[in-house]
Amino acid sequence: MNLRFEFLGVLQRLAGADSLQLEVPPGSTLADALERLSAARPELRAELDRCAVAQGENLMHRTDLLKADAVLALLPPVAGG
Amino acid sequence: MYLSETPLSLGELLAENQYPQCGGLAVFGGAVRNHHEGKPVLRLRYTAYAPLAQKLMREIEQAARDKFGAPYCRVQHRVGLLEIGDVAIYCVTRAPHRAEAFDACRWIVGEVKHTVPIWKEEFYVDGSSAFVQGCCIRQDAPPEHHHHHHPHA
Repeated sequence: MNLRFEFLGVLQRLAGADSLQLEVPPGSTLADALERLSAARPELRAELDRCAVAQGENLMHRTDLLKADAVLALLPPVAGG
Repeated sequence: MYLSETPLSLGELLAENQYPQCGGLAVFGGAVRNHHEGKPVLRLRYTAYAPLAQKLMREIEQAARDKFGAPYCRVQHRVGLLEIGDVAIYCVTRAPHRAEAFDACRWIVGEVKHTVPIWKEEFYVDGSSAFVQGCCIRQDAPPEHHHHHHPHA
């Protein structure tokens, strides 16, 4: 099934893109999908462990099961104010 | 409105003459500084993940009202390119007495800095730029991932 990762903050710079489409097997968890992303884009690997992941306005857990066509926002450590 | 691409307006946040029971009014504004960790800074760019940022800022305001008994709590943050001296964040609180107003205001600003998905990219005099190290907001992260290097004050 197809997913789309959206890159925020420093991830946009590291990836050189705003987003990336990725194919994962049905039944994948968020952790599985992030592992695939790391393999596809090793330059992101060091940051991904410290990223929160959101779908819409909700934060996800690494154990969450993904649905086809999910849009996953990758949120690196925050620094507002 | 929690995030703004245009300059923040303090006047609109003051809610004047609406809280006759509140004698304490606290205002905090955070402005862009011309230096960071010894490096001269020319300007900043703030970006945000708006869906979650707006939800969290709304929840932080509500939590502050409940926690401190401050009936009016509002916070707004700029996004986009900001110059030195531009205001990045305003927080306004009103409470019956000054202690609750101060406490609520300080707490809200800390929560926004540490939990809301907003990022700060600094542009330096030498032409380089960097994202400021921040706080990990991953809820299921191992404890060491929450470590970061900026002052909490």
